[in-house]
Amino acid sequence: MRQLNMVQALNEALDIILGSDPYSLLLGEDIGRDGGVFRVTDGLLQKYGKERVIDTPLNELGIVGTAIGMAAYGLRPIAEIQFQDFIFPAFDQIVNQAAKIRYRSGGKFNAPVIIRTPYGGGIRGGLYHSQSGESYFVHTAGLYVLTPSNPYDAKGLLLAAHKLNDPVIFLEPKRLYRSVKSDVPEGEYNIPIGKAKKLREGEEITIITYGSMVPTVLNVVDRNKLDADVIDLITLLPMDVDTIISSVKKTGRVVIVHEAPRTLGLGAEISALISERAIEYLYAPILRVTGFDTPFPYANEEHYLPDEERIMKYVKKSLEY
Amino acid sequence: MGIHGGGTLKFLNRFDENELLNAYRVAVYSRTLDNRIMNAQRQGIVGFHTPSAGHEIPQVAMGMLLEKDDIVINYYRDLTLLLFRGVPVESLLDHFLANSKDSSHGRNMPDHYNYREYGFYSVQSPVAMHLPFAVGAAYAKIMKKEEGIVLANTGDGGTSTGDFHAALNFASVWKMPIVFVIENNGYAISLPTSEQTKAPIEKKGEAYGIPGISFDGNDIFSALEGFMKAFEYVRTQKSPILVEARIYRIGPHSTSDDPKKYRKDEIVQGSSDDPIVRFRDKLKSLGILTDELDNEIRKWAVDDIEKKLEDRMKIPPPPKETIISDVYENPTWIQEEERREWL
Amino acid sequence: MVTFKLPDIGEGIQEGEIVKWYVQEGDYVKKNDVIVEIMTDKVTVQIPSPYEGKVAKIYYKTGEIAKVGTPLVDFSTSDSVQEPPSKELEPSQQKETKEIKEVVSEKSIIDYGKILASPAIRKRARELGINLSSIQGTGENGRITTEDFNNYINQLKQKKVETVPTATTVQPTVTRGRRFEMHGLRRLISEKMTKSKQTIPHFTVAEEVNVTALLELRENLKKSNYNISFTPFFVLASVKALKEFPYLNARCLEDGSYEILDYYNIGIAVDTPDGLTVAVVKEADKKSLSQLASEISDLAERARNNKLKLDEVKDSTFTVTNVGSIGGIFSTPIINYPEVAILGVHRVRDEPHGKFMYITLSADHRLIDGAMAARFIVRIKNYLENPITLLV
Repeated sequence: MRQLNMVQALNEALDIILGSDPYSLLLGEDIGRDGGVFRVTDGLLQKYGKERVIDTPLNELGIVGTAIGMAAYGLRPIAEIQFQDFIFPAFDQIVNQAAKIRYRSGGKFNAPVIIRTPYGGGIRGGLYHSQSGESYFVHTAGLYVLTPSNPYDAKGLLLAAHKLNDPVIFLEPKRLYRSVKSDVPEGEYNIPIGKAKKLREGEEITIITYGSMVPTVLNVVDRNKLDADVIDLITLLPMDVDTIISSVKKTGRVVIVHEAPRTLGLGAEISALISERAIEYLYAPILRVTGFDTPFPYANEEHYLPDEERIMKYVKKSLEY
Repeated sequence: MGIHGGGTLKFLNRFDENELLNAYRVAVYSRTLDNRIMNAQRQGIVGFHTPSAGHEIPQVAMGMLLEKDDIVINYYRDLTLLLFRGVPVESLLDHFLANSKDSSHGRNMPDHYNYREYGFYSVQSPVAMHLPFAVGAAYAKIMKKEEGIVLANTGDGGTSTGDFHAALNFASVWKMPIVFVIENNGYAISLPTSEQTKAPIEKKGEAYGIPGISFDGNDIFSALEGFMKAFEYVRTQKSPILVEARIYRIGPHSTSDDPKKYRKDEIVQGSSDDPIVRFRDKLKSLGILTDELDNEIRKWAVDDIEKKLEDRMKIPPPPKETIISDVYENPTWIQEEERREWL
Repeated sequence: MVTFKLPDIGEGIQEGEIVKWYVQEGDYVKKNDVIVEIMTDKVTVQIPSPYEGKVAKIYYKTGEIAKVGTPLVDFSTSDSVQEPPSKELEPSQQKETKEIKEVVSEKSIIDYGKILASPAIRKRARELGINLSSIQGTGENGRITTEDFNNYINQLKQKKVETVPTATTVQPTVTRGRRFEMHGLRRLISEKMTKSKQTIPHFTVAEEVNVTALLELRENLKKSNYNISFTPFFVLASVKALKEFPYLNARCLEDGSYEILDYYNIGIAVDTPDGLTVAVVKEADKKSLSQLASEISDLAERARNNKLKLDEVKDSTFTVTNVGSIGGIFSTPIINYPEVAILGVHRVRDEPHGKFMYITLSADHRLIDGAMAARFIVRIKNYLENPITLLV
């Protein structure tokens, strides 16, 4: 099978969507002529025309706000926010409009819009090209929040998201855009939404992660030959609590790894879920390895991001408790 | 039916006396309903209301010019327009009462009207948040090759927002068939328009390459003329336009607002400046309306509303299970669990 | 001046009753002199002084309940002394506490207080009936690590423990019926009865008593407003018989020796809502029938309401158990360890030739032979059939 990187996989998914659904369209800054600053939408303007691939003015509020209106009236827009760090002018539209329109209209309106955005650090992006703000969205009921960690999942997940009738925040881990290649089938296939994947199986410890931290975690496990369950959440909202809990009940030890800052990062929510449902199975406290509670620095990026050493230190702490 | 007998009168080469009379009826009914709901709030029957007194004329004018495929992305003061386009009074009352028959299950405060099936929107509180939505709606209509134009209504306060800016910019760049209607009633809660913006509102469109029209919204013919021009433009040019209808907010911003704190009422309800009084006088001078007919209309409005209100008040509130539905098309395990545990 | 706080006595206990002070304010003590005796439920612990110095202040009176961690005694010392770690006890005390450690109250099982351990370890400990305070934790702040716990389990499996055998494997889940864990009094009884039967070679001898005269006497006393049940009579009879048969008022010790006791504390078995409790009538030989009656009645009442003092449930030398009021003509009672004999009395039977009752005596065959037991029970029978002889 041919191997694609994540950019290529996403591009293929968008091509399939635009090709099969005449009411789908893309909008965002620099996505048409420029093919997107990460080239995810490369070639699509040429193929589908400017009514279906729109280079918008520089206004995230406008991109998301108009996309929601389109979605409410029968189109299937996929909006791109160039960097997740820039999504905040559209936050009102996402939280107050997209996430609530079905509820407040008693189902008369709904907003099947996908908002794709690259997130996370590791590309020397500094404060405003490296943020991981998934917590802001997971806290908002009415949204789906998805994040693939590899090309195969990326394509299938985007295709699956297209079928949802509610708004999706699709977080693309930008430092994995080109660093990983995997087998990607041609044509359509789906990754189930709301289902986590177990990437490694073991008895001693559970490591829960997602997005850009997945390859690092796998390296830690493989290099140290850890007898560990590694869970890639894929869907952050709604999170696959069943897979998490059954793993924790088996191993009794948990380490959660995410790049986003520690305070109210998803590690906090996962810890609460585990303590509610499996506290008597725990042989050690639930540990988190996360980004710092600071803005994201330009220099020292490698110290900010959780690395293999830091992860291993906490794994050891849990195993020896 | 006109009282002149014989042929009907044509106004502005477009409207006959029946249409004008109908518009008057709707305006009177709307004002009566508005007053009744304000009272009901003071009586504890209704929780909250944003009165539309003073907005009737431009709204009936829009109503007379809208066609069946046009959609109005309205805001919370468009009561008269809803009535004009046939939203049942019972349904409006259910919404004000937030009872179990309300189409949004009592989830919204009044006046967050929810009437997609009548060509309207589902109103939200953040001011002007719906303007970009309206632009997207227009885009969808074009792409799906549907008939009709889009109206996006808001007040003078809305023109200061980022949403206004984004919407007008995108509408212009994309060339959308959309009428931005600013129902400028002089105040955004307590802030007079002169402190809201230094540019005349109809000129704001120029910054986006959008033409603007402004007219006296308190006069029926002035309003009709102005809207006719605007709609004509959008229907033929398939381009956006900005319309300012200058009116006066006769009541407070809402039942939680006391205008005495920041202004002296410039137009008092029922005085000769009241647009409905002016409308009445105009129709009388045209021989379309008599005092007798007027009284009949007013009495009918009061009685009809009272009876309907009494009826709708018998309906129970929405069941508590409605808290947890419609968050998604299909609830996730999270809502399901919360429903089981807490409801 | 240094304050000595009541240490964690070693059972996860939170408090104890002051049984006896061995010192008073102003006394000079040497390090390790026993200063006080403290009782918790069924356990008595003697606390040795960690300091040398003068007893400056005593914080609790005899009979008061002292809370672990609160000041117990102030010592005025000449030199500055380091506070010893609170876990240190004399080796003999350690052995004693270790031996009895498995007999714990419900509170000590669930309320761990200072014991640090992960939730999973706590759960396993509960399931296995292990008191976590028995385990020395090697983690930070004395936390019991998983390794500590697993090592302890292995030790238990290997060691021959004299104390009550606890389940070393978790029972498989019951597939029909319902499964419960034993706590509190039920657990105590379970452990005590098991120990008694496993240690003492029991045998039982029975006699039939004609209680017609006794019943008549009771009726007469009632007419004079003395409402006296059977039990006081049996206690009186037992005490008199014990004086003649001192071997039945004795203890067999674990080292193979035995002691004959010269005081007579009679245990009365009481059926309470929580289970069987033995209330003790102290110095029963020195009490009149009516005194015995009122004391027994009061003890029984308070036993049923769970209001007995620690002092009232310990140190019996012989026990009487009466199920007659409920039913049963005959039983083979289990000796109240560490006593050597127990008397069971039963239901009165209406026979054509009079009113009769079986009495049974279970005895410890290590010390008491059948002949002695038979003679003893016959003596009791004689007293009861001629109640007037109880007066002399």
